[in-house]
Order: sequence, then structure tokens, then C-alpha cells
Amino acid sequence: MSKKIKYPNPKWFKMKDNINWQLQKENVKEIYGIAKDILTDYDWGQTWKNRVADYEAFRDRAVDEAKYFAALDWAGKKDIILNGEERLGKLYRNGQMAFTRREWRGIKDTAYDFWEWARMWGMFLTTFGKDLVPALNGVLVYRWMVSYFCAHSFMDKLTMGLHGSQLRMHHELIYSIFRYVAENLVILLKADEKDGNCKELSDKLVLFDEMTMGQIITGFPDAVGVPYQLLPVFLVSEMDQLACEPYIDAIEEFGLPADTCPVPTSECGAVVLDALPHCGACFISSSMPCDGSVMASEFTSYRYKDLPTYHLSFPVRYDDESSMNMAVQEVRGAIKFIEECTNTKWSWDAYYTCMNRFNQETDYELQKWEVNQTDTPALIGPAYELFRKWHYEMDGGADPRVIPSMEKVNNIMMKAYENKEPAWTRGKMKHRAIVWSCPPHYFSNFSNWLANCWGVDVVVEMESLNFTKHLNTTDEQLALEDMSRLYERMVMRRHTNGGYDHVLTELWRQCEIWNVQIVIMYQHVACKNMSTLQGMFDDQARERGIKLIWVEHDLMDPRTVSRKDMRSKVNEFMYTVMGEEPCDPTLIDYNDDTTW
Amino acid sequence: MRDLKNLIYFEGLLDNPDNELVKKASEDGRKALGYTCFYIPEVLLNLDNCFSVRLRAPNVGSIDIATYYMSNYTCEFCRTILEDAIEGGFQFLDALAEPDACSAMNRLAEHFELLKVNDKPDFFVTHLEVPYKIEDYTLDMYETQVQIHLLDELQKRFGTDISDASIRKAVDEHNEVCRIMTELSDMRKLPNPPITGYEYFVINLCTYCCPKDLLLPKLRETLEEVRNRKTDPKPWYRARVEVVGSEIDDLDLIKMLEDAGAFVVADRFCFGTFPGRQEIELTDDKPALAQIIEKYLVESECARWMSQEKIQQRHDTVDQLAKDFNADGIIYEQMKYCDFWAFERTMASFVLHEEYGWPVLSIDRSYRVRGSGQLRTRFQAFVEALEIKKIRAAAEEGGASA
Amino acid sequence: MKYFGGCDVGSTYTKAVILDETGKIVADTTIKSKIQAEESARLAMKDVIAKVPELNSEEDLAYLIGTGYGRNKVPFADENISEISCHAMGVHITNPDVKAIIDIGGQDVKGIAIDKDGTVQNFAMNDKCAAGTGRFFEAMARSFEMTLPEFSKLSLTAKNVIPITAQCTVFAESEVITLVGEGKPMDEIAAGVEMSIAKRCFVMAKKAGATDSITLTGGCAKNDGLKQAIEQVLKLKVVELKTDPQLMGALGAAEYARQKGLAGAAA
Repeated sequence: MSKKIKYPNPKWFKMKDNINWQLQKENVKEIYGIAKDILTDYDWGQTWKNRVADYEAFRDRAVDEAKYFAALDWAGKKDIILNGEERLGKLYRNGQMAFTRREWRGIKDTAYDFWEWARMWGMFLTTFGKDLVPALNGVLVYRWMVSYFCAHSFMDKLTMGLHGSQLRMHHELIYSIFRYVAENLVILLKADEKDGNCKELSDKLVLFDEMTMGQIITGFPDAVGVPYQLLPVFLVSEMDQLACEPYIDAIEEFGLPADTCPVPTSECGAVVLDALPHCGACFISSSMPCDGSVMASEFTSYRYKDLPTYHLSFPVRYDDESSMNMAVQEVRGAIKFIEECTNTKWSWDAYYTCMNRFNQETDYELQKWEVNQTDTPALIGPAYELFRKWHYEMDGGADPRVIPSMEKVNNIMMKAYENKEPAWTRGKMKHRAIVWSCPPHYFSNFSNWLANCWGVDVVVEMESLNFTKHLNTTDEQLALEDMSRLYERMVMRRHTNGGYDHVLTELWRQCEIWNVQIVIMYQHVACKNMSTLQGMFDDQARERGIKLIWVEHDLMDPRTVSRKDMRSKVNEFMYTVMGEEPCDPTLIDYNDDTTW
Repeated sequence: MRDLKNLIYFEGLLDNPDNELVKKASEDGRKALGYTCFYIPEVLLNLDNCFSVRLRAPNVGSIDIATYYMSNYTCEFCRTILEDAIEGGFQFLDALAEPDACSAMNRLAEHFELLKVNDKPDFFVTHLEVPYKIEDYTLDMYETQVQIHLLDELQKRFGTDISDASIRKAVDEHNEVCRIMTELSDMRKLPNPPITGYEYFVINLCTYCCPKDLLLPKLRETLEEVRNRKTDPKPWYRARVEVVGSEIDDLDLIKMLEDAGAFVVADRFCFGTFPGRQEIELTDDKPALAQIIEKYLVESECARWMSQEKIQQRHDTVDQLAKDFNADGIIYEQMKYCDFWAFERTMASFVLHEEYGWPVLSIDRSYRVRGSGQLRTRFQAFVEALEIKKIRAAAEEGGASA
Repeated sequence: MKYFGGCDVGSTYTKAVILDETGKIVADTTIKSKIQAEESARLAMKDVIAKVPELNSEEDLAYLIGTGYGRNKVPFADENISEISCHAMGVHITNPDVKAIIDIGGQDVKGIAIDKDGTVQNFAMNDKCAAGTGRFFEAMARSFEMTLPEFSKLSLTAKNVIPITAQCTVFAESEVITLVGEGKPMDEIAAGVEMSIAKRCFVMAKKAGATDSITLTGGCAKNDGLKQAIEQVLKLKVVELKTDPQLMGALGAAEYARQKGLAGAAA
């Protein structure tokens, strides 16, 4: 009988911590000093006024909602009780971080939603419980750890306005992502010299640069890979729109111009602020996905000179097979480097097992595409988009628990499809749209807003449309070639590298396949790769009669273009060019500059 | 010092990319091959019936049309070249060779194709994959790329002789230019040099923008003139600076520096001397192509190289040049919106100051700096700081020796 | 007879138009905008209503629509419509053959493509930067110590064009001052300024897909130097409007008011 594989390997959590208590004492002393300063400078009078304003706002909202409900006829009242509320803009309040309250989704869905809320808490507690002290101490060591307290708010944000099958699928996908995040947080903090200081774990820990795919580590069953900057920088900026501002400010003060991509910019800022954990046997840096990320690793290497770094660099013009040998050599070099740094051996068996799983996951993904390409798309929305990126980039077939989750989602999806259950209820299925270019981290539920406010349904986004060929799992040379092809076609890189055909002409191909006439063109102001084709997009869209809605953003810095500014671009287009009225007028004009 | 006899002639060659020497070569039936980046080995564009022209766009006004195509926050160099191309400024080219080194340059080349900015029926754009680090297999890869995407294309389309002998012949001519430029460059090491930084920059820039054989007579003549040039009793400058960073082809920038009293003693930027104007020494035991590829990649100081040894090489080169040319300070500059140099400039200007102890001025700048009062003030302030440092150091030395 | 009003509260000028039931312009006005948009609207409406003997106040209008950046500040307005839609409609009823507009306002430049029925097909605008706007012109004329018409006239006399490289208003002003300081011919610099604005306008037009049968609206449309430069950049003739191009926003608003007012009465 085969033994059930436990993932992640429990031994990582059982290794002995060696917390430097003297360091922690100094840290607490510093925090105490900061807290004292805050309390001394605190304007208690203003705080009281703010609380009074909060109370008044709460009262006004409650009165408004009661009046609104009372004015409805019986059918309207019944509809709200059973199917949930419609005025979602009322959940926001100017100047606040959290929603005014949780969304009412109807009796059944609200109960289900609450169950998922509790399940997520349970998962967090059990995961952190695997090594509680460093995990909790992380909150005292790193400011970004505090942002994880809004994980539930993030969940609410991604599921806003969802009901029935959609809500169930979204929760399943979000849960998988957060389980991965929680487990990796525990590992990272445990190995960190500034926190758990578990040398034994750190010696087996391989750190991955931003967005570098995790597949390569699956061939090392005796080592553990962690996306190094994803947890302190990348993901927190999706959960908390204000999280990266201090990083960006710090590195710009250091001298970096303000026009670089906020991803590497924030990572370098995190180095300047000493917000990155100090651990790991080695660091796999990469040239991916774009120019901005190439030199960012210089800052990490400079800060932690004891961290050996391998620069994994793949050909940019990846269609040209004459450069394949270089790509394969790069992978071979990385494998050898990890073997030497972690004192472990590469296992083809382990790699093949995981890649077989990854291939299966790709099949599930293709099934979703097939359904979404029909007139009744069944799984759309921000959690799906996020999950696709996560399982493709980060997990990469490593976690066996992802398969049952995908299977479950697939079953729900197929049933919803067969029953012709609309992905968005209440008349919000008006326009099919594709999202192109990189989405803003600080408005991670933009596609959710598009559907709720205007009935513009994003059936697919660029970053999901990556490599779908099955990876070879029988021949070593062919397997390495396939891994190279996969890495070359990672999220963003698949489109931004290798020539305009991959992003410009590709868009028109995808518009046809997905049967869409509207494209949400994210205009990430610092993304040179995309913005250098801006005019051609316009010219060629016009020739094809496809409507482009340009939405500017600055990825992780909402001060450049706020969420409100982004929404106003769509509002203006929908009113002026499409001549339409919104599905939910409360979502037209609200202020969420400080909302998580 | 008396004005250089040919300075106005050289300046005239830089007024327009399609200058009189380019026109003459084209009229003789030779093929003008455009390029914008050091990754394309210049010497390989000068084989047989071809000559290289490094692209500049000195006469373009506002770059709105290119901005429409490439947006606001992208490399101004690339946008200005594109604007010029759209306005018909590069009709004289027969081909454009571009490495996929940065997205802006790649897209620039793609717009040459997409917008069909050149009407010649056999005009073509060729793209080359370039590596991020130096290993045997990356050198092999690049050699293959150059062979397939550059040399074979030239042979196929223009009947160019791409044999080893032809390459070696081009290297000989290239080396003569390098020898002249190196001798002129080394004169900048002198405390009272017979050539100014501006004059040197103009001449060097011409060597990138003109057919070498047609330029050589004037280069030889100028070298002779500078050798015998009588200097003023006292040097004219207030401080000696090394300029490091992304591409500069703007005469006004160097002029502005020299007006502020800064003598540009070493030019470690694209279109500069380091690298680019060092002789290529070929041996007979290996094909010339492989040796050229290795030299270009190993000597390249581009901020795109991401491996640790290349980062170290960049810092060491800047430090060594500053020492060799007796610089008082270093100016790190970057073309606005260049990602590679943005990160490199930030870190390197910190390292060169903190670890190597050099006074450093760090700036980002437009493609054309004409009328930038802000930059003029910053240059002047830096020169003043260097000057006072020198005075204090001399005083301390005097005090110590007394 | 019923009357319909449109009031375009711009950043620099406020314009108002009154139409009768047949769509004929019975009165119009243009005044300099005040700091408070509401006050500008009130003064413009007072002025235009005084020109129609049958009207005593805004309340006598059958329908009133506000437009422009202060569109939601127009007192007594029945509703407000974006200036993009109003410019398109205004131009459409003035000359239905026109398919595209470059609208150069005080603080923005817009390119608008018009559909067959006068609605907006697409639009583009630069709303975060003053390059190419009326404010840009004012800054440039100021550095020449001239009025706008004088500046425009001067540019028409130039034989050559000195290109202006800076896109930012502030930097362009400093570039112009440097060029003047260098003793470059004033008319050629002025032509350079006009050309740089024309290119900016062209970009907006191109972005909106508005490059065919084009006209200029907004205050700067009256600048002949700019018109000439735009014609040079676009390589086509700019269509002249019979009605004052500065009034197009208000006229479009009044036309929307007429259509909506009549439809409402019929219902």
C-alpha cells in the first residue's frame, strides 16, 4: 500500500528554532519606543471626533438602509432577503480601511460565506500553530506581517457580489492560495535569522526571485523553495493597497527614479528598509519577466552578501529554437547550483511526479477556458484569475492537495454550465471582455467591480493565457527543454517578450477565440514593455472595430492613479461611448483611497 | 588653444544622420546598416559592401507622434529615433540590426517594421537574442545569433562577403580608427591636454556615425594637428570628470559640462570610448567571428548584464578609468526612463561613493538637454564642489609637508 | 414657443446658448470664468437670457443642460452631460459632414470621433498635463510678452520652424526663453511652439481615431497659426465651422436639451 504523501513535508516545521532572544528584546524595545512616541503625539481630541463621526456615519447608513428596505414592496424585500443586497457601493465608507459591514448575499449564501470565513480562520490558526512563536513574532519583526490581518477582507473583496456556484468555487480557490501563503510564511519566518533562526531549515531553503516559477524546486524533495519577495511585497500589495508605499518612498529617496516598475522598485525598497528576511541556502534570481526586474537582485545581493545567487536567465526571443541550448544549460546550471548550496540531490522521479500533476492541472485549466469561451461562461472573477497565476507560477504541481480542489471546482463549474447558471446574477452579464496587460495590485478586484457596476464580464485575462503544452515526464533532455519553454512563457513574459506578435497580434487572436468586442487595456504607466506598443493597439483595434477601454494604473502605487481614477475612466467610456446606465449606481462614485 | 581645423567639418557631419559621407557611400552602392546598441558588433556591420551608422536624431522637435506609439514613460532616445523615422529621416538605411537587449529598443525596431518607415524594397530589420551573462554556452548562442540573423542575412540579401578574410579586413580598418582615437583619448590624461572633452566627443561620435574609410583621412590629419597643437599656458578646466552611463550623442550635454568647467576626461557611456574604441587583436588559431563575439561581450559594460562578476566589472572599470585619467569625480547619468540604468545608476553611484571613495553626481536626463537650466546648475555645483575639494586637499598636503 | 438652454462652464470661459424649438440659435454669450463655477454659470445664463425678450429667468427655459468641467454646478439645470458628448453634438448639427474634432480647451486637449447620429464614437484626452492646451499657449505668449492673437500672427510670418523639444509647459517655457536669449528669430520659435501643440493635438485625434474630416473647437480654434500647423501635421484641410467654434459645447448641450425637452413634452 502506498504511503500518503504529506505536503509540505512535516519535518520542515519540526526543526528546532534558535531564536536570538537578545535581538527580540531589542526589537521589542524599539517597538515600545515607537508606540510611546505615537501615544505622546496622539491627538486624542481628534480621535474622539473621529469616533463620533464613525458613529454618525454608522447611524446614517443604518437609517438609510432601513428606509431603503422599508420603501421596497414585498417582492423587493423578499428578493433582498433571499438573493442578497444590490447596492454594493454602500459597503464603502470614505477614509476607512474595512468595509462598513459584511455583504448580505441572501440567507443561504451568507451562511455559506460565513462558514468559509470560519474555515479560513481555522486554517490560519492550525498552520501558524505548526510553529507558533516565530510566526507570531513575525508581526513584531516585520510591518508587512500586519497586512496579513486583512486576509479575510481580501477574501470578501474578491467575492463581492458573488452567489451560488460562483461563490463556492471562488472560496475553494482562495482557500488553496491562502493555505500555501500561510505555510510559506511559517517556513520563511522560522528560517529567518531575525526571527526563528532555524539554521537547519535555512540550509535547505531556496529563495526564489519575484515571479520566478517554482517548478524547478519540485525536483528537490529534500529542499524547500519559497518565493522570497512574494510574501513580504508582492502579495501584501494585492491585499492592502497602501502596503508598498513605504518601500517605494524609501528607494526613491535612495535615488531610484520614480518611473520604474513598482514590483522591483518595492522589492529594492524592502531591502533599503530591511524588510526582507535573512535566510536561505541560496537565491535564484531571474531576468523575468521584464527589464525592470533584471537589476533589482543587485540590491538583495548587496544587502545579504552571504546569500549565494544564481541568475537564471532565459532567451528573450523564445520562439527562436536556436537559443534552446542556452536555456537548457541555464536550467542545468541552476540544478547544479541548488544541489551544491543545499547539499541535496536532484530527483527526476520527484520532478516527474509533480509535473504529471501539473499537466493534470493544465487540463483542468483548459476545461475552464473551453467553458468560458461559450455563451455561458461559468467561472470568471478575480479569485479565478489569481488562482491561475498562483498554481501556474508558484505551486507548479508541488502540492497534491491542489488536484482535489481543482476537481471540486471543476465539478461545480460543469454543473453550473449544464444548468446555464449565469456567472453573475441580477442582469450583470451584459458584455464579454478580455483584460490585457498587467492588472493593478492595488485594485485586485477590478474585474469584480466591472461586472457589479457595469455588467462587463471579464471572461479571461492576459496573464492566464500561458503555456498549456504537457511537459515531458519521460526523457531527461526533452523534460529540460519543456521546462525551459515553460519558464520562457511565464506570466507576463509569455506576452511581453519575444516580439509584438506575442502581445499585439495575440490580442486579436484571443478576441476572436473568446468572442469579445471589449478589451480592458490596463495601462500600467511604468511597464515599458507594454506601453511601447500603445499606439499600435489603438490603430489595430480601430481597424478591427474592437473597443479598447484604457485604464491607467501604477501597479502598486495608488497615489499615481487611484482606484477612483481607474473607475472614472470606465464610467466615462460607458456613459459617453456605450451610452449605457450602470447596473449598480452606488458603485459609480465612492471613495476607497484608504480601503484595504 | 587655436581652434581645430576640422572641428566645424566634424560638427557638420553630426547635424544629420544622413551626412555627406553617408550619402557618398550610399551613392557608391554601399549598404547603410543602422544600429543603436553596442551588443551589435560594429565591426561586423563594416564588411565588404556595407557600412555602419549608429542612429541619432539630432534634429527632431517634439516627439509626440512617437509618444502616441510608445507612450510617455519610455526611453526618450528610442522615441526620438522613432519620431525621426516616421518623419522620413532614416530613408537612407538599407537595414537595421537590433539586439533584443531592452524592450524600448526592441519596440523601436518593431515600429520600423510595423509603420514601414523605410520605402526601400529590400530594407529589412533583423533581431538578435543577446545573453545576460557570460558562459561558454552564452557566447556560443550569441555567435550563432550573429551568424544566422546578421551575417547570413547580409550575404543573402546584399551578396556581402562574410568570409573570415573579409571579417579580418574590416577589423584592420576598425583598428586604425581605434588607434587614432586611443591616442587622442590618452592625451586627455595630461594635466594640460591639447584637446578638449568636447572636441574629443565630436570626433569620436563621428567615428560611430560615418563610413570609416571616408572619415579616416580627416582623422589622420586631426591626430597630427593635435599632436603638434600648442596648449595655453594654463589648463582651461576647473575639474576633471568621468562620465558614466547610458547613451549620449548630444553635443549640448558635453558642451554644457565643459561650459560649467568640467573636462570630460573619460567617456564610459554608449557612443563613448570605453568600450568601443579599443583595438581588436585577432589570433590565427580561432575564427575571427568567435574572437570578436567574445571581445564585445566580455568588454561590454551594459547595465543589462545581471551576473555578479559583471556588476563588479562595471564598478571596477569606472574606478580604474577615473584613476587612469586622473578624474576628480564621476558623473553617473542615465537616459530618462531607462530601466537598466535606473537601477544600476542608483546602486553604482552609492557604491562608487561609499566604497571607492569618489565624489559622484547622479542624474537622469532627457535625450536632448538644450535649455535645461536645472542640469546646468547641477553640473556647476558639482564642479564647484570638486574644485573646493581639490583646494582643500592641496592645502592639507601643503600643511602636512610643511 | 419653447426655448432650450445649454451652458458650458469651462476652466477659462463660460459659454451659453439658447435654441428655439426648431433648433435655431436665438442667443449666445461667452464670458470669462470666475473662480466659482456656479457663479460663472449664473452670470452666463443671466447674460444670455437677457438677450431673449420672451425669457425672464432660467425657469422659463423648457430644458437646460449643463456641460464643461463645472457642469454639475449650473443652477436650475435639468441634467448635465459631458462636454465630450456636447462638442460632438454641437459640431454635428453645425456641419453633419464633420467626422472628427480636436477640442483645445483651457486645460485639456481632446480628440473626438463622431458617429453618424452625432453621438461619440470614441474619444481621447490629456487631462493630467497642460501641454498643448490653452494654458500652454498663454504661458508661451507670456514668455514673448505678447497677447495670444499677436503670438499667433507672429508665427504665421515664419519661414522656418525651430523645433521645441520639451513637452512639459514649464520646461518648454524655459526652452523658449533660452532660444530667445540665444537670439533665434522670434517668429520661428513661435512657429515651433505652434507646431509642438499641433503635434500634441494630432496625437489626441489619432488616439480617438479622429483623423478624417476634422474641425477645431474650443477657444484655441480661433488661432490661425495653430490651424495652419495642424493642417501641416495632419496633411489635410481643417473644416471651418459657420458658428463660433468656442460655442460648440454649449450649442451641443442646448441641442441635447431641445431633443430631450421635446421628447419629454411628447411623452
